[in-house]
Amino acid sequence: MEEGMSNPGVILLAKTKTAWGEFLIEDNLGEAVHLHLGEIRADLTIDDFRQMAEQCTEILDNFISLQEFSCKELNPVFLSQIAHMLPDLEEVQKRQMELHRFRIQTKNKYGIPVIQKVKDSRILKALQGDHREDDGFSQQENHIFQSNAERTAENLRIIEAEGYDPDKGMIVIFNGQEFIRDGQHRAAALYFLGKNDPVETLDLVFRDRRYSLPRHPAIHFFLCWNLKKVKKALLVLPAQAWKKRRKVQRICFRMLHSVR
Amino acid sequence: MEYIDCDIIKSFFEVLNVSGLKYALIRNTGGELPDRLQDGKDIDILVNHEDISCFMKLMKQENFQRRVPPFGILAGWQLAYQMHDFLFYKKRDTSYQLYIDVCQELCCHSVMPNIWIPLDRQIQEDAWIYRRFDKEKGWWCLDDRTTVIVYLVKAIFDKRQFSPGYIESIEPRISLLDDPILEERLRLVFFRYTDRLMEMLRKGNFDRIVADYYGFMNY
Repeated sequence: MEEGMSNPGVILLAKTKTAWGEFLIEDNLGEAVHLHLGEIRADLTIDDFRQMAEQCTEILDNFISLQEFSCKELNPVFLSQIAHMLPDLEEVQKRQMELHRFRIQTKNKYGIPVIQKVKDSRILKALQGDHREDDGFSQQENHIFQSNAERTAENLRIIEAEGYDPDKGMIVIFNGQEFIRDGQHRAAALYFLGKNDPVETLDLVFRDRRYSLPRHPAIHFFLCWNLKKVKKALLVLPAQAWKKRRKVQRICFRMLHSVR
Repeated sequence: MEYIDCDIIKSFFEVLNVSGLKYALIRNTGGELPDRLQDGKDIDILVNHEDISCFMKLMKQENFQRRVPPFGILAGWQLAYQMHDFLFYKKRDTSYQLYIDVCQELCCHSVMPNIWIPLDRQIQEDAWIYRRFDKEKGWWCLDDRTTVIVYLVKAIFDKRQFSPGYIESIEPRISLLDDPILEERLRLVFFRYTDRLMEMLRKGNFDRIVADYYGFMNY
């Protein structure tokens, strides 16, 4: 970018930390797609960027080396969120699951993780006209300028028009658990439309059942929280206090020395 | 609908003129100033950063109370490229609500949430070089080229729509699109979309511009 030039139309497409610094992909509207890695920046046209993304997809498919795995079966945003888990991926299964069997892990109004059935989810409530919970949910990535309500409505429209098409993205679960990891909107839309036929689901199985969700998340949450706090109180805080004590001693010593 | 007394607005600008501070009125959408400014609405002015401390003293003298800017740092916004925070004032002890929103740079919302971004330095310099004194109204305002840029940027990035007031402010200045300097300045904001933007403005397709800009992919 030339000095003094700033593009207000910058959309952050992806961001992650690497050993070489922060890696960012930005779409600078009307200008170029920028890839930043630490201090280095590469400018790409949209066509170049798409071509590069295609090539990355092929590389990733080869890298995973599981016959059943294909990046194209996963939503790109979800794929970027689970990228760090992929080296542990051992098996990919496709299975049929009834909608009523799915569960969703979310947080209640006190921030404590809870498990819900699809029929109790915020998205189904929104589809039924109660948007309060869905509107206040800030932890999902929508299209640019798209509100949660608009996304929910769009998903319903697609499911109504086209039905559930596994080729356009399946509901994803991990390690055979019934928790939806991707596809909550689709599941809620199907439930809302009264379609309770089994749906094709992608089950990603990881080494040692890693990344599974706890069956009792509230207990897990409180235990982990307390353990962290206790550990910090017992180990970290005294160490910090000790370090500061030495620092104060040093400062006092220097001050006294300079006065003399 | 209640309007603020135009004499109060005129006297505010008179004080600014007498002080010799470098300022410019940023927008007068639909010609609402000085006699059709609704009670509770604000006046947007640009004040030169070097004059800001004098301006703050002057506002204090003129019985304006400093308030937390609704879109400033304290309200959770980030200011990119070392942009200066806004100042926001309310006239004290009055029956009406007169607010003054002060920018030190011409700026707009970034597409990224809660970020302000200053317009290109060349546009900032133009604002001071070409500002003109409106003898009829009695205030310094931006030149027509910068005014077109300010309205386009506000409509596309902040409001994401062209309201009738904005169209009314842009349409009389459409002939300026033939000015190569304006074209050059627009390229500093809209880059390769500039040609299409100018074409749509000439055709009067205001209602299609915002969606077309965000969907533009020829770069």
